[in-house]
Amino acid sequence: MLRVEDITHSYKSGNEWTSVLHKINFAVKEGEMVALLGSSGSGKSTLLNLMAGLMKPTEGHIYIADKDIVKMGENKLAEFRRKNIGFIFQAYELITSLTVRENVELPLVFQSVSPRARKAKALALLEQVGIPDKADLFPSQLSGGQQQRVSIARSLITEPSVIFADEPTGNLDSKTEEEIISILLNLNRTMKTTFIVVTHEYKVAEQMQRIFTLKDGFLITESQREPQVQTEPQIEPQLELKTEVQGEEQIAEEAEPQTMVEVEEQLAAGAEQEAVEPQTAAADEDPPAEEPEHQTAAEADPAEGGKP
Amino acid sequence: MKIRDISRMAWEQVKRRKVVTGLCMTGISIGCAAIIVALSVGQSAQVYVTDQVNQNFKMDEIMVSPGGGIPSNGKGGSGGGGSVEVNENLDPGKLTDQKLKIIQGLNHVKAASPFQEAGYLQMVTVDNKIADVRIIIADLKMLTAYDHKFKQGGASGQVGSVVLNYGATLGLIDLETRQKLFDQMNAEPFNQELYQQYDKLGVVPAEMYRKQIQIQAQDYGSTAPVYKLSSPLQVDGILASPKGMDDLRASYEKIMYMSPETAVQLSKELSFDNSTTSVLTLPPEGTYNSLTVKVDDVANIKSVEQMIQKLTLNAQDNLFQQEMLKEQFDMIKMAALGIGVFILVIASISIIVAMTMSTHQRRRQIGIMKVLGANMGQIRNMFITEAALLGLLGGILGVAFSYLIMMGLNKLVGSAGEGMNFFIPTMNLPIGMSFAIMTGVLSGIYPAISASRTDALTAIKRD
Ligand SMILES: Nc1ncnc2c1ncn2[C@@H]1O[C@H](COP(=O)(O)OP(=O)(O)O)[C@@H](O)[C@H]1O
Ligand SMILES: [Mg+2]
Repeated sequence: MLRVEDITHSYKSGNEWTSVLHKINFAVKEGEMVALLGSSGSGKSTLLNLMAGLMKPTEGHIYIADKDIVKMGENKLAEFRRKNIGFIFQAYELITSLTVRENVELPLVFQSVSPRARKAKALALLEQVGIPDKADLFPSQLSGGQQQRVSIARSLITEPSVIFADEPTGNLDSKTEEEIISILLNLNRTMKTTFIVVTHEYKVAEQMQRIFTLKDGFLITESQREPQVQTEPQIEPQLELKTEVQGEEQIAEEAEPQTMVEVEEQLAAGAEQEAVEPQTAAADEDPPAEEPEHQTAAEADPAEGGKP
Repeated sequence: MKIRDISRMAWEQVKRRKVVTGLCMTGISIGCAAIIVALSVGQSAQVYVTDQVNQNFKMDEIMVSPGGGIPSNGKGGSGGGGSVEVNENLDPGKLTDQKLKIIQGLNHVKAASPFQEAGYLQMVTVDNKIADVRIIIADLKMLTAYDHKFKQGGASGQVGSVVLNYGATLGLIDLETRQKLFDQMNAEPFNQELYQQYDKLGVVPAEMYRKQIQIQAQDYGSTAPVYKLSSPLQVDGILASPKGMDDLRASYEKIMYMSPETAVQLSKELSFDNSTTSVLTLPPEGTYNSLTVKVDDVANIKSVEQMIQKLTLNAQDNLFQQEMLKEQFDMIKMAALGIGVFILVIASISIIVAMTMSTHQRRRQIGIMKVLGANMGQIRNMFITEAALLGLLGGILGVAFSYLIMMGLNKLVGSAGEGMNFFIPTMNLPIGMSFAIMTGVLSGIYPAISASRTDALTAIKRD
């Protein structure tokens, strides 16, 4: 799903080049949730921004869904990002002039999705992150934890294949931190979205499936954890929620006529997903995830224009 | 990105950023109002003056008088609308009956008839009221062919029958009253009331239709005042006042039309033995001192004029009046537009500054939007829409301003007693609005492009 190959990055300050990342190599499988752990200044954000295509590495390649994003131009990258990548910021970064629901809808606004379709989707996601009653409030009326939930819902609305989170709990107290992390864990389990979470706290990192540790720009360890089982009972209710989202989304999708180009794009995207999936499913180490994943695959086709 | 979403987000920003919005709207609205007001004042003045000119000069008429013209070298040249038999034996420079016939036969000529000024004389009514009238000798039956309308009666072919214009029925006053008023005015030259009274008397209408009048002439040749009265003349027709002319203005021009036969009779009656000149200026028999030619279309005026000039006559039309006016008002309008555009350019600088400031403050927000999938085009469109919206709002405010200004102008001019009315032609509103929106969009382009170039990383950089 995501592969980082020989990434080296240097910042230029004045006439000097400061090397921040050195020959980083790693891969993340579809549906995985990994932590990028390291102390402040170790290069985590730099690596994350490179992977999200927000800047270009000095050297190396980054493949997402088998496409080298390093080679993409600004507009192609924007297009790719809006379809495949979600982003959760440390400081939430909500647009203060828009309501909570409008903030969640925003990525779909840039994709010209009809207001009805995106409203339904946004409301379902707000319910999923546990703040359905806050839809019409403004970000300033919410607590930090609630704002981060909005930001999470916003990152999910485009159904990205990977979500990058840079210190998502960095501004929160430890109780709220736990809530947010557990929301992320649940989303990863139910929606099979790949998560890459940057953190400097081992306490946070240890809850992820794998941990990559960065130190002074070097990738020093890659630890693997046993599949998590303790939250398994939660899967049932989450599944129901997911089905609900799909229902509304499909109605909305029907109401919105698609252009030929869009249909073709989505067909192409669907084909790619299919090509990737068998390999991912085989490599997947999380048995309980099997069922929801099949559902995701099944849902992807009718929603994205159907098979020819 | 849907237009609805773009405009809604632009609207949100316009609502939130009150200082930027206020700055931009003020600038644009002043510019927009300047354009609308300037154009409208120009047009109002043009309408007013054109009305005045059209009241006094008919555009489809040619005045022909003796003399001048281009002596033609036989036939040939541009034949134009009709063929004129150029006869070298025609009395050069004289306006003869023969030439009148030729002119009447020309193509495009609807009517050609003598209208001869015969001087000013005093008209006396049966109840002894008097008025100074201009005598014009003309074929009374032809009056209607020259756009005159009869208010009462019509033309009669009889000798001793006259037609008065509407002005000649106004302000008839008896000699004593007039003399008394003049004396009073002489005694108190600064008494405003007396002047008003005089003006009021000047427009008092008198029933003249089918009334008898006489013409009075004074012999200036003798020492003691000697008056002579003509035999009674009958008023058989009264012309209607031209459309849009008020009574006061109409009263300034009192005209009496009479046939040549009546004029000859009058001239005989009023001649003084010791005087060499007649009280009525009459041309020699068989010639005229002035003709008025009515042409079917203004477009043919010039070609008919050329024909007439070949008859060694002077021909003059009134088109130059219009052209002069048009040139003057085109200049005024251009100057007005220039002032408006200049103000808009100044306004656009304020927009560029305000918008650039605003994009700078919003760098972080723009970065977030880019991370969330907005591309450069979308960011640019959002900012340009915002600028256009500011232009639109400024334009609306400008339209409101311009109506206020015009209202003020009308109050000002109204109190000065002028008959001019300032109005805003509907066409000027879209012109003003489009200038306003254009200014918004044009000055929004630079800030929009610089906003769209904002680095997405700005959003997540923590410093
Ligand atoms: N834009 C930049 N220009 C120059 N140096 C930078 C820039 N961003 C980060 N750095 C430097 O790169 C190193 C890694 O930074 P960063 O990736 O933000 O680390 P982390 O997120 O792990 O705290 C730090 O030493 C930092 O000072
Ligand atoms: Mg960081």
